[in-house]
Amino acid sequence: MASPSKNGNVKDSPSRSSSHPTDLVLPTQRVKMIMKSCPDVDMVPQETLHLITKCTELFIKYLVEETIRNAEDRTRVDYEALAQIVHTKDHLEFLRDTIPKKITWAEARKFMAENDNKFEGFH
Amino acid sequence: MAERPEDLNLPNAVITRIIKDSLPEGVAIAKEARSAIAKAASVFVLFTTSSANNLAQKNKKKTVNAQDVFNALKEMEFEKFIEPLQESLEVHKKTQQSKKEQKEAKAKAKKAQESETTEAVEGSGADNIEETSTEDAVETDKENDLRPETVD
Repeated sequence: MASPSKNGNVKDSPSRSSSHPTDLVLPTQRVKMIMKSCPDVDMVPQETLHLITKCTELFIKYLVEETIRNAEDRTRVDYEALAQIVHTKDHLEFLRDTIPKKITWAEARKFMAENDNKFEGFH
Repeated sequence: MAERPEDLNLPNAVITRIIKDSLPEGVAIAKEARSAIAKAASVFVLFTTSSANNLAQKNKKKTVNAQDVFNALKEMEFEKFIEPLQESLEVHKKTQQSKKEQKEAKAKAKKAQESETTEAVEGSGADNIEETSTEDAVETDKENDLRPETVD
């Protein structure tokens, strides 16, 4: 699958994504900054940076593909469909705070009414 | 370390490009979904880094290496990424290696060229022969002549 072509977007490859394995699309310096914001992370070897950058690209692709696969409307990737997979797949649990499920105002009011004692000042 | 919130974000244009490359023909993405995916990507970097780092520390190592990343991905249930990552790493290493060799070969060639030039042109004052590729035609004529007629 690794085509030796040196040009960025290989549109004729079966997966339709930029499949040249060595061309990283995400900027490594930015990824490195994010990695370094982790406490206890000191030095980041070149190899590790490459892997994390590449696997983040794969992850983005994965999110898009899974959302479409599970969506009711497959012509569009919308927020609700994305949130749906985040809240149903176990290994996407770490994203539940980042991509919360949305509720309607009516649902929110109902929830607050039921939990009256916990929401002071929201009457 | 990053003081501004945007430092921890990945550039939108690039994320959009990756998303668009992953979309089948005729499928669009909502703006809101796109920005949620961008955030998710940053969180993924953090989560994977921190998981890999924990594994490294458990094994008393100071830096996170490739194996730690692979093991972290296994733990996170993203094993399917491991194989394409390994391929990517292989190609990356080979590219780095050949880049290095090219650089060394270039440096060697330049050195050889320099020493040849200094031998052929003795005190003619035209030491800058090899660098005047884009300068006046007059200079070029001088070079072709090889005889230091007009050079003082």
